[in-house]
Amino acid sequence: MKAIQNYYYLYINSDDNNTGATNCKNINFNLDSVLMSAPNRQYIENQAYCYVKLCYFAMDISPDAITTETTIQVRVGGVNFPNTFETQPLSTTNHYNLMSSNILGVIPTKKVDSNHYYIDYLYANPDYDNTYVVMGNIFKGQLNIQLTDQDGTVLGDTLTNNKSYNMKLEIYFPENKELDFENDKNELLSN
Amino acid sequence: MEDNSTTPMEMRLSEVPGMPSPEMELTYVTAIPMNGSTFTQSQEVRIGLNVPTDCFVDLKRAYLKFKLKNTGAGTCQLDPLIGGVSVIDNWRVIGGTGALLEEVIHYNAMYAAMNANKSVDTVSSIHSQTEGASTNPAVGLKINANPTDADIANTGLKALSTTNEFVVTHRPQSAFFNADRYMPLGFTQGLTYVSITLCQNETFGLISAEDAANASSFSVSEVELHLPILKPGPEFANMFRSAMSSGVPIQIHSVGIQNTQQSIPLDSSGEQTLTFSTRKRSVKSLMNVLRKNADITDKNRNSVSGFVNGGITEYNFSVGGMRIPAQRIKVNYSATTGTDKGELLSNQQLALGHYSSDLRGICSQTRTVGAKTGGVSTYLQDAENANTAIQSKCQFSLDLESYNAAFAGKNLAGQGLPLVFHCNSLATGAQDIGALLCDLYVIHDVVYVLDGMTGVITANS
Repeated sequence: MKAIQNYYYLYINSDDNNTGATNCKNINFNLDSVLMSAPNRQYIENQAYCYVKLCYFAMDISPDAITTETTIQVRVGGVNFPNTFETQPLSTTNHYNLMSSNILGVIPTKKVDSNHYYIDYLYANPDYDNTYVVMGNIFKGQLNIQLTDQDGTVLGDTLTNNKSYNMKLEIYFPENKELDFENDKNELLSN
Repeated sequence: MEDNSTTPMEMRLSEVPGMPSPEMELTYVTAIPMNGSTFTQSQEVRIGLNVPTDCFVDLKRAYLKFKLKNTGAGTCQLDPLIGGVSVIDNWRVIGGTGALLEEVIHYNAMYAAMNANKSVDTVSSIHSQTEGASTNPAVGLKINANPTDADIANTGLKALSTTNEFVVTHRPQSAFFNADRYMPLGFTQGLTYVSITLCQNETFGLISAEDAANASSFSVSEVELHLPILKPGPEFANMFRSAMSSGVPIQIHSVGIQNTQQSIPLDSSGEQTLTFSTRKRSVKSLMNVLRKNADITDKNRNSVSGFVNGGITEYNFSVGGMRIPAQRIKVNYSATTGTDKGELLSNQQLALGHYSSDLRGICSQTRTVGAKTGGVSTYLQDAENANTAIQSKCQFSLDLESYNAAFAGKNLAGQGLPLVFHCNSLATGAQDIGALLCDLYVIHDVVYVLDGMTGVITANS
């Protein structure tokens, strides 16, 4: 059942990163634990996975700085994405065309020419076409967020240095006892 | 042939009735990643535990092997205490039906804390050979300035030139791999797999001050997990299957580690109150590890094992509103009136179960090769805000186990209040330079239960 306590919302301001970095291409946050702020949500603390949707992304980016980037990928380090995959090129050191991925969401740069793109900010449209992705429980301490281009290369400094972004994430914790990290604590006490 | 002698301890799985000592055939399986072959920063390595039907795995004798390549432009040095294991940021074990069986966040820092509590000889010999730890690991690296080539030479860090590779062989410090019984993965549903999340490029190694302009990057390939497989004779396998199908739960005990984090902000001194979230049922001990937040993602600093003290002068924990211990553990730094190295170290050893063991040491006494005297202690460092300050190997720990047995830990699940770390800190601690990250590792009992009817393994803690 979808209950109100299963939904959480996380607003991320890149300027608030935990080291005070001014280049937003690769930053870290300490998300601690949901248990701190919502102490009655113990079962959520024990959840292995959650659904996360990138609802909103806006960044003060200059159209002139965008060259070949068609897409900005929001990648998350330190968390597993059990159901997300991406393609990668085959090479002498890589024999798999398919690989697990850590992309949380994608944002089109919408560049028209060297001076224009469709909207002033990147992802403030009302469609929110990034859907839910399954990822490990997001409230588990340090969270690394990287912005990459369509090839998975971290964005250049001209796009990210002294720039900021704002992001809204919608987080949903399903009630699935099979995926709960601690299914039945009585098992422990019965010994 | 099976005889009627006693069943080995490793085969006594919970309520399964006594069985004759089975004939066991030992073979080795090399598990490889299922989701790629070459991995880079922040990516996940997924290694399926391909165990043949009706077989057990002796996970205590398993080891992980991978090739670590420096793909950066210049030379990069590996971590002084754990070498190339620094790339393992998170460690998870996922059961065949998707259930999370184990999760250790900041696995690399946990392993570094464990190695810090081994003798210099152990780290500089076996861990240097197998994982790339340094040859003089007791030397502390600078925490407020980029270590120079001379500092690095003094520490004996393992250097990887650009495009060079090092083969890391590592025994997992994992609950699932340290259980007290053989793991019956050949009797379970689905494929259990190990999920390793790699660290960021800036975390894996250290680039000297002279080469500071070089970017840091790495790749991991040829990942192998070597598993000893034990195949019992058909009589034992049938008997085990019968016991499972009769509804007898198979229970395997181990000790797991949960990570939960907090921060000490810049410039904060005096009384600190850090609340942590944990609801484990049987907590054996707590181990608090402090690092400078910015250094974790700084390619020019010791990111994984750059432990600091934060100028802590005394500490205790609050569990369910009760202070433990009631009188705080003192941490006095004074060179003239004496330090409290012994008390801090004793509590650390109690927490790790090493207390009074002559086999364990602390990786904090430097050596001067060939000299009859010399060598200094780098254990408890004062004035961490100085430019010349070096890292410590201290952890701020507490033993909570009432007696040395399974399930004898403190129950933190029934308390309405979170776990709180109380400490008092000097203004000259490392947080005078930058915010600190506190990794609290909760060492707790865990029981893996194999439901005989469904073949599903779950973890209860």
